[in-house]
Amino acid sequence: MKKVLIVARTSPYGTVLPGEAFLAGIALRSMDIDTKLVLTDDGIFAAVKGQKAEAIGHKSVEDAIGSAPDFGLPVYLHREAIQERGIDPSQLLPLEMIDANTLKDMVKEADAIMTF
Amino acid sequence: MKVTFNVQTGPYTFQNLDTVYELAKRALDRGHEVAIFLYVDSIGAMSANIATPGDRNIPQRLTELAEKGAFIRGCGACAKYRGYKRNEMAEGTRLAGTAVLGEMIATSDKFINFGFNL
Repeated sequence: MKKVLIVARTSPYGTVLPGEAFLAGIALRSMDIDTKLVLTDDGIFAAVKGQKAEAIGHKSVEDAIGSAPDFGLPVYLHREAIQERGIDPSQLLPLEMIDANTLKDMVKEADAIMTF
Repeated sequence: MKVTFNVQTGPYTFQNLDTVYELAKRALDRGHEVAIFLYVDSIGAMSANIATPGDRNIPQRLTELAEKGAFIRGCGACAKYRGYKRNEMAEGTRLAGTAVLGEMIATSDKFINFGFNL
């Protein structure tokens, strides 16, 4: 079976991309394709708790990311990206953290990679 | 071999669609199977209304690839969000759901993503 890795690297709201990463991920999972979503670089901000997206008339990316496991889409947070940004992990949704080596393995194992 | 290209960036702003055209043309010429999915802003490249006097016409290039056998589909939801209508798409291209992207991935030997690289 094909393994798909989706990598969200951009902050939410500035562009639609982390939201699209989520949508692509749940679409592929709904087809029973083995799909993982990794938040890295500024994509980490998609997992910050307490987003008030309604204030700018957007849908909450936090809610989307938080709901991903309910769709069978595992989401991973890249630890170094969190540290580089000085984010306290308690500010983030309780998702599994991975280090750069694990991310490297995920990249190696994937048959298809989509970056957003 | 079957190669799938997934493009996210809009035409003329980014080089990705031009790169995919060149790669797809050569892959087809060598007898490979090619599928292209136009995702996010790249959906604009399927508009038959694009006019580029004196410059390359990307939707016509897509039609040319389709005539050579490329399977070209664009994200229907992306088109709706950007005001593109089903009947305005370049010949040989069609709108579809992300399930088609999933099928392309599942049936391809190589999958190459052309994203924003921000």
